[in-house]
Amino acid sequence: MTRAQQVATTLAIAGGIWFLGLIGLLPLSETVKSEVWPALPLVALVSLGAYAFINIGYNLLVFRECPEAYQELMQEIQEAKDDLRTKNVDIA
Amino acid sequence: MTQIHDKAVGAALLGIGSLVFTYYSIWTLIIPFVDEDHPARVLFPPQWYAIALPVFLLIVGVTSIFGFLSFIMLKSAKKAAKKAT
Repeated sequence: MTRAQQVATTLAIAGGIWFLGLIGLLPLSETVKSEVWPALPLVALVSLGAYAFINIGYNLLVFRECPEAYQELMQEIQEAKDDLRTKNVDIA
Repeated sequence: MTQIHDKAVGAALLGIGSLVFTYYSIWTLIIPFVDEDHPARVLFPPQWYAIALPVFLLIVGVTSIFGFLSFIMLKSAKKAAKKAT
């Protein structure tokens, strides 16, 4: 089973349960049924977006920069460019 | 310099994500069970907006994405047609 099939199956099951609750076939209290339950897909979507933000933000914050690797990389790029230029490759 | 800039962007994303998640979760999952005269209710708009606001933002977002896509595709098609003549 591929990853896409897995995600699709989970979503289908969750959607089915949510729909059952929506049409009244699940034992839900009155406040839950009228106010909380219909908002659940939106809660899931907003949570997914917030999780993405938090993940990216946190990783940006703790990312360790390595200046020596940067210098080494720039030098390697320069050497590669010079080498290719001598072999008549058009490089800016 | 870019390192500080990246960290600032990261911190901003982190803050916004946490804030939105906490506020929206309380708004949709906890407020419906709180009495009408509780002082905390003042901080949150009526439940109608808890559904209307995300739906509206979704519609605007999806429309702008598809609009941008269409614009790009039309422009490239026009350019290809011009080249062919």
